Amino acid sequence: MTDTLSPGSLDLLTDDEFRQRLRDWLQEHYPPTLRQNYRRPFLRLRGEPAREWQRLLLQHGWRAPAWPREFGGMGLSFRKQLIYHQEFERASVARVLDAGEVQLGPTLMRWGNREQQQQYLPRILAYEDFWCQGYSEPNAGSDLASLRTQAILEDTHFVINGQKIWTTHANDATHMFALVRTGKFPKRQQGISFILIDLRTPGVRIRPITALSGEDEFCEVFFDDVRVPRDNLVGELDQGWTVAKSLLGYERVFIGSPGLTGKALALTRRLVRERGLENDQGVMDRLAVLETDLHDYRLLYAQMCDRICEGRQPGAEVSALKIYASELRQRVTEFNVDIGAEFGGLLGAADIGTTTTDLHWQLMMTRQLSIYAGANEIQRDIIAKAVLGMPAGKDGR
Amino acid sequence: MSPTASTTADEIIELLRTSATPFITRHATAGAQQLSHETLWSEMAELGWQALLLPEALGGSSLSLRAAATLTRMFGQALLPATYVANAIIPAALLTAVHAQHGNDERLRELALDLSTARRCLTLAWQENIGELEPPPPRTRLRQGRLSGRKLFVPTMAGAGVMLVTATIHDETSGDAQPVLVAVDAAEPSVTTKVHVGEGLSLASVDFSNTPIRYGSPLLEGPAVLDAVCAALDTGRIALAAQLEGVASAALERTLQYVNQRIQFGRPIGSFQTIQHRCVDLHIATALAQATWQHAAQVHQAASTVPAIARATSAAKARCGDTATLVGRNAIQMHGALGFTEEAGVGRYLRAALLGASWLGTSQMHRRRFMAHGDRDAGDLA
Repeated sequence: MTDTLSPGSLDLLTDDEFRQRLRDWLQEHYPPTLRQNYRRPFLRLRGEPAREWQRLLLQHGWRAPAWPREFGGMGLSFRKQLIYHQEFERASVARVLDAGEVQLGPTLMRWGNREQQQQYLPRILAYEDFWCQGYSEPNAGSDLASLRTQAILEDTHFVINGQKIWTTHANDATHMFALVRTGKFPKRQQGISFILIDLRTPGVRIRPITALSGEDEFCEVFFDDVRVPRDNLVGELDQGWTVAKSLLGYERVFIGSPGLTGKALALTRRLVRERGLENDQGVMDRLAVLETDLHDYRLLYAQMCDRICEGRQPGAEVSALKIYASELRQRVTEFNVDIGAEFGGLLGAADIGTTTTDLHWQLMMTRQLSIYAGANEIQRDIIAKAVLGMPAGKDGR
Repeated sequence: MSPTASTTADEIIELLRTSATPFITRHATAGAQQLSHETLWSEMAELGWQALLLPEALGGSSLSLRAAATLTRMFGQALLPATYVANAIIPAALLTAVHAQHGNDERLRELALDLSTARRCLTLAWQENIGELEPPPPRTRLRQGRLSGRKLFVPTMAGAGVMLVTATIHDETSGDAQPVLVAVDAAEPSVTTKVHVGEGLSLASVDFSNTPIRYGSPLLEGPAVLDAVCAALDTGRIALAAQLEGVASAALERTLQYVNQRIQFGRPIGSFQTIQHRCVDLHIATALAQATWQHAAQVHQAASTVPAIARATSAAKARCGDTATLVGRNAIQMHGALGFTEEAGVGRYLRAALLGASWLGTSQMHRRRFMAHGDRDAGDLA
């Protein structure tokens, strides 16, 4: 039984055995009420449901697939990580945006000292601490290096003043890992430090931002003389940019996963049936474009994953996945609005035939895809220079 | 070149690629004079390329479609004609399919030899309507060893050749009609053609007027004829998709070279973000295209079901056709005024794309076929 397997030994199974075991476990243990459905194809778990689910995963040995075994993770090969993601998608598991697991953990493993690893990593796994990422600021979005939140070292503590914005799930979080300005140098990337902040420290104020979807996933976080122990610095002072930008794991690949687009397209097919549009050649031709786009994209994604399985490390090329997957999912949600007719212009849940859905929600939820995790314009800039070898513009950028 | 037990499929493909490079370098022309198809054709025969897909029983090297597609991709990059797809791959696939039905047939061996030695050219005449994807029961009739009717979009041949033609034969007594596949000498006086020229490949309307067939009797009879033609066309489509992706990739490569050295406003125009972003999107498009034909070749090789092959083939043909025309159009745009001159030669990529995208089914038709063979990848939601 899976329950008795220690984390790490699952990597020793064959791919098929691993897949089947995970599939069976998810079937048995993932609450059906929390499945992604036609109403909420992109449902995410937050707060208490997220905590419960992550702890269940930990209890049964399915937590932190990408973490090395020495730090309490599953230590899975890339190939098995891929299977892990596929099975979660197949079971319509609502994703948890666990910045602690996905970003901070690997960062501490690589750049943190032993005390930091021992203090924070187990608490991330157990979801006792829940972390959010504090990078963007009102004046520092794509141009992150121009960030201004300041941390001045006063003997044993940093004193932090400034503001972060677009911080995902800060209103659920206990902690934040942040990039702050600790020094002034000719090159703006220098003088940035990577620091860990307890959000319950006096001087921290969190204000959720309501998005067009009606969700409040993003927040502003204000820092007013917030005192953070000096030991919370990760890596060297003024070297935080390097810490944050170093390639960490395969998240850049998985962000291009076609799974959620498949959910959106499942809604499309359902709506076509509910509205009786199967004989509308115009609609079916437009659907065929989206179907072949997804079909072909799955092939490209699989091909890139195969190369990684064969040992090739993912390079700038993977930015192409994020660009295409995000824009395709947007197009699908836009088409869903089209075929929803009048309901496409109205807010809230509606019954279309026998299907309950929220067309406005699914449309607005995809607006952020082309902006977060590196705006698509920036991703295109990266591919142009790093993959196509095109020349830098004025100012060498 | 026959593969030994120790030679893997990848090694074979590498060998093929290496042996093709001198040929391609010699013949690649970007805007230069039209080269003789006969010259090309006999050189290819010397390299053993017409025989690539023929089974060993018909004197071929029995290589994979992936190997043949590797070649056609290189042809696409070099803007070489699509005649290899039309006059080698499709006829070879058809002979192979017929051979699978008939086995030991002297006529098939003779035709295969014609093909592999370039002694005679072969071409398939199946289409009778514009915008046709799959062979319907033919209106062209075979009566007492003579053929009458009209075929459309038949790839022309360099020099003397044999047409493989689908027709219908009516049983005198029972009145039953069934499809047949016959061979006809293109040089027969009762055959008239009207040729339409495309970039690197010409397609003809062919009229048969009581034309005698070779061998006196059909090569194949019955529903198996249409199945064999379908299989041959899909094989050709996959190779054509690879060729189209080659056209797209080369057009992009050439455009990148141009924009990175064309100076305006004191800097290469390739340093402007709008040009960069456009090139990135074309790059992503060609990456997608490449994944689709590779996949289709694999599905074909795995001897998958006919619907699975049709689905993968249509995905590849639609994607690669659209991508080649997309890149072709954008290549012209990014070359500025130079782009729309005949002399600059950039327009040839678009022309090659237009031909490949429209022949053997347009992208829209193929997407419809893709949908018709639906296997829903994504599961249903709750």
